[in-house]
Amino acid sequence: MNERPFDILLIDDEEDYALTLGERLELRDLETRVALSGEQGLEMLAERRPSLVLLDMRMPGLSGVEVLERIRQIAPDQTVIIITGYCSEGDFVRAQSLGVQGYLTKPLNFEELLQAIEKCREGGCSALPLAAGPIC
Amino acid sequence: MRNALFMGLITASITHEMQNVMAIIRESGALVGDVMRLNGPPRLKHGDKLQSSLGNIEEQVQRGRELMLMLNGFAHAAEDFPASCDAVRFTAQIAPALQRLARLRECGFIFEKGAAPLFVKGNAMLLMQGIYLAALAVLDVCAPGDTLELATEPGQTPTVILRTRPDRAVPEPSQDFHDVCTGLPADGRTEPGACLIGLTPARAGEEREL
Repeated sequence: MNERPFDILLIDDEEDYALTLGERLELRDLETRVALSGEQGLEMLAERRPSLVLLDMRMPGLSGVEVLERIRQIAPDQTVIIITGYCSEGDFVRAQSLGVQGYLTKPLNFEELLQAIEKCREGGCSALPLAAGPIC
Repeated sequence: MRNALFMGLITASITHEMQNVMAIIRESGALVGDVMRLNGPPRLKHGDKLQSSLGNIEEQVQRGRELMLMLNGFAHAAEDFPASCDAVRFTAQIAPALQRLARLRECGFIFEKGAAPLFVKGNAMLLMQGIYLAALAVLDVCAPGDTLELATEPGQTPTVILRTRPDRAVPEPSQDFHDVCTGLPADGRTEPGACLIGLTPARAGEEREL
């Protein structure tokens, strides 16, 4: 049986950002689907579970925390890394309690992101350290 | 205080949005760099200029990010007015603004951040105002080419020191400076070549980080 290729679902309402980041990941042979809202992200996740979700925190409609709560209901073991420019301390604590595997702040250090993705590919992402704290 | 809170709220919100703007600029520039690298050595005429421009974009995004973090810190300092603050942390917070003041006067700037927190009485906003006003007084006597030094000194009276290099006779700071010192409470004074803010150590149990 063929192993399913590693793929990423990027959920971020900043269209220019999400599409550009998605293209950069694709250039590195990382299949990336982009959802421009939490709602769209959940639909795409239901269609096909990705190996990794990259999730923005502040979005209109469903917030990152709300999306994360729903992901945990339908896919408790889904690997999720938060990428955000800012969040409230409450969001940060809530995201931690919902078991995210990483927390990266925008503007991203792309190499850091690739390292985090690589750890997830190797199956060791549960050991990914969270960033020191959010930019609130 | 309500005005400060409002300004802090709006400023913090704008810095959040600016993080997104810089993220888009960084990723867009980096994507161009990725494509160039994947296509091998640049075949474009003046391709080297494109490479150096991408380097400039990355540097300026990093600079912008640091400035936004500083501004974000200021904005949040307005949110809370505890009875004490870490003088080392908030001296570091105001340092980039002083560096800019010094540069505008063609002066150098040296800042050495204290190694350990220094909890003192008074809120962070007042402390930063006091340091800023003291810097204005010191820079008033500086000539182009002089250096402004900023430092904190622990001890029974934790002190923020703004010194001129070479020594210049520092005039009496503004009444605003003394009002701020009264509010902290602190002892604001000058000596040859320096303006000092002698702070009051926070009592045990009074230390509180923002």
